[in-house]
Amino acid sequence: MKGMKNFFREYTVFIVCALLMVVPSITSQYVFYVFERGVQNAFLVIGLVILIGYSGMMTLGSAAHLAIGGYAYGIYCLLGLPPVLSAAIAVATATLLGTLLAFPAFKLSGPFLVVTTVGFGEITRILILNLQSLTGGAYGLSGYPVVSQAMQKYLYYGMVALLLLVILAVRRLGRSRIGLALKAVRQDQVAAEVMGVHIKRAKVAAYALSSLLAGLSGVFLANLTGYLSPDSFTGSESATYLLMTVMGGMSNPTGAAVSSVGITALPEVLRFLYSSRLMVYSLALLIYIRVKWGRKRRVALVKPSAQGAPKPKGGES
Amino acid sequence: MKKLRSILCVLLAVLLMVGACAVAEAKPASYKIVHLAPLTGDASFQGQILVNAAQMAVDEINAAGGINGVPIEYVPIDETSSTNSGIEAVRKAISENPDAIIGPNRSGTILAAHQLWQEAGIPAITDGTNAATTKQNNPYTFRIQIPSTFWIPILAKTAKEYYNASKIAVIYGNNEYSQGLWDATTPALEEYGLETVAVLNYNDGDRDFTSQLLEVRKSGADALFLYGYEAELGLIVRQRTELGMGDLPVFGERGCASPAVQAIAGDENFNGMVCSTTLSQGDPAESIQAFIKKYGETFDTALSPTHVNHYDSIKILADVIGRVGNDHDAIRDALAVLDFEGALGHYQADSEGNLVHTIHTQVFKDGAWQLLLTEEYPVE
Repeated sequence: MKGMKNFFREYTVFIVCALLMVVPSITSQYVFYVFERGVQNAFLVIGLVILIGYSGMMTLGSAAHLAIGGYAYGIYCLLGLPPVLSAAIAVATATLLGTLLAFPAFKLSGPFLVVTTVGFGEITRILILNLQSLTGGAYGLSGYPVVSQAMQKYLYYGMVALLLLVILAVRRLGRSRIGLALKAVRQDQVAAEVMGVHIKRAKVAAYALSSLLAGLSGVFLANLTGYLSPDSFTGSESATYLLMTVMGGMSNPTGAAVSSVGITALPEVLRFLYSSRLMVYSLALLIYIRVKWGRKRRVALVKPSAQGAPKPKGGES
Repeated sequence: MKKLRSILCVLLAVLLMVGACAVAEAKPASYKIVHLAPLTGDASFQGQILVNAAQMAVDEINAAGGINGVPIEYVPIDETSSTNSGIEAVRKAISENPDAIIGPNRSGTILAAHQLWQEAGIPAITDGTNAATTKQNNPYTFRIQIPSTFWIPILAKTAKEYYNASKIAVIYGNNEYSQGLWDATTPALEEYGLETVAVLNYNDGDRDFTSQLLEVRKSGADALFLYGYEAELGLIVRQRTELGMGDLPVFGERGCASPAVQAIAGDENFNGMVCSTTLSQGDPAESIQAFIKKYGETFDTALSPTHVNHYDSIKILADVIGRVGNDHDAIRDALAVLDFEGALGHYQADSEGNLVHTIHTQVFKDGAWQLLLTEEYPVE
């Protein structure tokens, strides 16, 4: 019984990805697009799993990282670089700019760090809005090459395959030295430092990895929509990504992927309710958060649970 | 020989019957029209008016027996007020396989998603006023509004001829809609020899505009051109009187004639508001007054003059489908040469797919709108 449970825990990710793989063959174009958006969001949210779930560094500015990735791709393309190269440099740009955020995070934690990330998100959005010659400002950015409609299916297969690799990698990362270091930082920064964890290095790594995934997600977003505008990267979008992370189980990459697809699809599923759908949407999320899901361990975000509390076996992934 | 002839007769009769059945089957159970409108988010207020107006026309047509006996199936779809979910909504609309699309309302959504309905070959009667939306070489995009380039010259003309203004201050919001209007402002003011003395902008969601308004006062402007969404417009208009600038006439584009702005600003602060619209509540024309009255009775709310044109969009589509059937390309071709007298105005298609060519300015005075100027731009 226990063996089966472990087996399930270990291999859910393959089942999820296999299910995602068959989506294009069995759904309409519209439903397929919603799934594409969900998988694209999953990359960003798995990045947040590293940042928030593993390291406990709360962020409400994740939409900005996404925007940097997307806009960088569009701008490099429009400057004449080939799309694949643009994508690579865009991810690098997003990683670099995102990693810079690690520096304030050396000193800040808790609510102070959250405020910093909110500020970062707003500054990025307002810069995009006002740097009109570069980003198109409020008109938005369009006209860059995107993956054609016929090739979308293959882009999607590529995304799901990459998602599988990312989930496996992030899961391994959680059990690796750096992952354990990050988790130690989350639990107690001082204790971790005393034990010889290089705090700064760990934080830089967390920010670099999460903004790399966010940049990747941004490049995919640019390709899916063919149009970027600042109204897609507001604070409320960041809050939605945080929600996806929390509902996915904080430090569970597979859960994050599932909740990304689920929450992206939810407003579309609820479309038949017309304008009351936002209410039902919020209600559904509230109920989900309040229900106790089995004996799943809750991850303490700020403080560790009382000392000596028994830990469920099997370990968190 | 006789036998052969009778066989032929029977065959012919059968063929005719089959043919008749095929014709009868070609008539669908309903003609489907989907309407993309922002029913949630920042623009939800106008979204509801857009849908109300269209619904009114659908109800009228269906009550009168539909189009050649076939009822219209009208499906409103929430475009939301953000571009990303707008694209999803357009995909949803196309997946419904409608005979025609009405909307989207937001220029951003149109620019982002117009290729989707072009690929699907479904004609769309949009209403975003950004001039660029009909310049995308998309033969399936039509617009039941006048492009933003026309909204400002008539305001400049009114400012000059009715208010003797010479120094103009401009405040606009940082969004694609207001930016489009600002881009059209400088040439319009130059055309009428008006001087721009201050240009200020704000970000959507701002709630205090004291600094911008004080700048306007310092500049000595004798008219204020104001572009933005309802919530901010209303506050700016109210804060203008609170700062003792109540005499400064405010000029705005269609959005400012919305009852939402009036409600936020307060009636007493709203006096002196000049708006350019494609339909004026002050227009004495009988069909327009009848429409305004009927709208008020049906929905028990005031209408916003430039968000009700989809009443005529439905009538146009009903007319076109009644004439050419529900083949997408036939509808498109008929819209491209449209010349239609609607309840709210005259509609004629130009080479870009713009259907509206008349524009008015009106002023809010003593609790009611009064018509000032009317301009016609002939179809080229």
